[in-house]
Amino acid sequence: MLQLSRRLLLGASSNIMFWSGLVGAAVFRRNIIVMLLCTELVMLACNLNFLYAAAYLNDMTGVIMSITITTIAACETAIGLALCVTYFHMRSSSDVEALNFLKAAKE
Amino acid sequence: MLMHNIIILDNLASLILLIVYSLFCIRYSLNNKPLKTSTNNPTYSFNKISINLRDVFMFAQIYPILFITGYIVEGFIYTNASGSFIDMVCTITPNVLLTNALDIGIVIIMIIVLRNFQTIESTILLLLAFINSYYMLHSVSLMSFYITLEGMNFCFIVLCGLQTINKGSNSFSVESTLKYFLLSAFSTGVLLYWFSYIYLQTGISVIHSSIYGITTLSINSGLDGGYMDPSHIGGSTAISTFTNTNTMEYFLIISAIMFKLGAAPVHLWVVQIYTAVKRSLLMYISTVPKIALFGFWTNSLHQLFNTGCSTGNTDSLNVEQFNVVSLYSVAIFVLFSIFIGSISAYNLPSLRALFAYSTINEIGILLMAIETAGFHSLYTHLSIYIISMLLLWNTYDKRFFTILAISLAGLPPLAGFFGKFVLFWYAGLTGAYTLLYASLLTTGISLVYYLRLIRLFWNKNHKNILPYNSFSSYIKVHASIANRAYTNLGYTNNIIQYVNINKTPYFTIPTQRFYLNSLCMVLIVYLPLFVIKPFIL
Repeated sequence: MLQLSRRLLLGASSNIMFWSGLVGAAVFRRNIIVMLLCTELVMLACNLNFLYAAAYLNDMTGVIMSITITTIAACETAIGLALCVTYFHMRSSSDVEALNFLKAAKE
Repeated sequence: MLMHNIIILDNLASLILLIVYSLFCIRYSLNNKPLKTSTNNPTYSFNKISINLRDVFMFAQIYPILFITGYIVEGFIYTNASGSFIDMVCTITPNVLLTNALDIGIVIIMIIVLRNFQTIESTILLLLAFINSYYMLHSVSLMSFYITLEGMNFCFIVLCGLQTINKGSNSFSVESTLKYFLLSAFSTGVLLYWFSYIYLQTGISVIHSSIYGITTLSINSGLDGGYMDPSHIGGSTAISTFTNTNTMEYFLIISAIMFKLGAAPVHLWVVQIYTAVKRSLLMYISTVPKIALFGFWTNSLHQLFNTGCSTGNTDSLNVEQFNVVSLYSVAIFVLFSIFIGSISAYNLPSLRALFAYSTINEIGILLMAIETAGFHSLYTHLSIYIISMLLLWNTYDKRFFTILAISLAGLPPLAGFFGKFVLFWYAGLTGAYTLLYASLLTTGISLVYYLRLIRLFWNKNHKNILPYNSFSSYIKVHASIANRAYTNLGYTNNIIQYVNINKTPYFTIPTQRFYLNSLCMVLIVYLPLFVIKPFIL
């Protein structure tokens, strides 16, 4: 069994990821691709939390939850990207106000 | 319990067969055209049997009834054998009959909603949404709650993004859908994070509301690799290892539920969706998820919000005796919702947005019911609200609309008054005076715009009725009565909405919709008799 300090560090990375994702979403509200990436970060962080908990508690529930979260996150990303694609198809490229994907690419 | 799960799996298998059959029909035959058509589109035939997508529709629109055939055959069952094969846990809840009634409610509403959709993909997505909401009602663990919640969200999001106006795609709806999608993704992410926190701290992820009267999170069983007899899973022993309810995790989990319900301050998606989506979808979103969420809440967390009134014992009615988290966590949402819902709706030129804010108002009052009045009065008002919504999104007639507006406003002879009356009565009885005063105030404030609508529809000269908005002089209010709801709110100041007050059709609507409208109106007018019966008899 690891020391308490080491055990706490194992859970730190996922928590940092989670809060980075939330703060990133709040800051980068104007860029839809970054928002989707932050969503994925949040999902992955929760996933890792569940796995950490499963390892700590020696219980299978966390692992099952992790698999389900992975699949649902994948579906979510697919839906988000499909919506983005339809949105970009409908709007002309010059009329993008809140979605600065093209501008970021040029810089 | 295992047999019950097999029946549920059977129903799901039928859905898969339905999807496969519909794909086969699309590939090989016509959709809804008569058999005598041009030679470009032949029907596929096996020994003079022709396949058509009409048959799939017919079955799909009746599919939800499969989920309640058990009640027809066996009667109402007293053990709420969990309908979710994901959980492997059996519960015995005090609110079993209520859950059964909510099942039937969801099924009936879905059958009504499904009649309004003409494409097979919409129908299948709605059936998936129905299945998710059905399982959410019967779900016991955090995992199944999360899965069903996400499933409902995804189905609705795809439906919103798919819709077209006049056979062309609509960027406004896709934009609103995108915003809703992002907000819901983050809310469920936060929910998951706190689930993982609870799981880490306690090792348990099942919410077990037992007949012993305590809400516990019971220890997981059956998933450690050993063999577990299915009859012994879950319900045999209620081990209370986590009864501390004064924690922030419950508050943060509840905030995710609040997001989906449409309570403030996480209400931003409601206005966007209500202005961008067609009415048949709004019929779904304003009724079914709310039933599912409130049902899940009562079945799992009801003991957290136990007050004297809900148990029937009116001796000790001081709310502070009970759980602190329950009162102060939900009261914030209540106050925000009712104030935002009533005050933001004042000078709106868009009727859809007005109905969105009235929804937020109603949800605030229902949340107030959870901590003061108990769940029976909550479901009374919720059912009245659902009848009002079914009428609202279906009505083409200004006479139906006036009765609906009076009911929503909460004026006496109709059902809306009695729903709110019971809730306010119990709020006063339990001592939640702040909430009571706030809700009464906001009900008075919201009366204005309901009654103004009635005047708007019945007066031909509408210039003196509408408010004057400084940023535009081209406002014409659009009634949900006309078939078109196109707004341009994001990019111009001209709010282009057309009015057809003088040309309101009276009886030019389809027959089934007329029956639905009439039924809802009759219920709104005569339901008070059943609500006031216990007070008089």
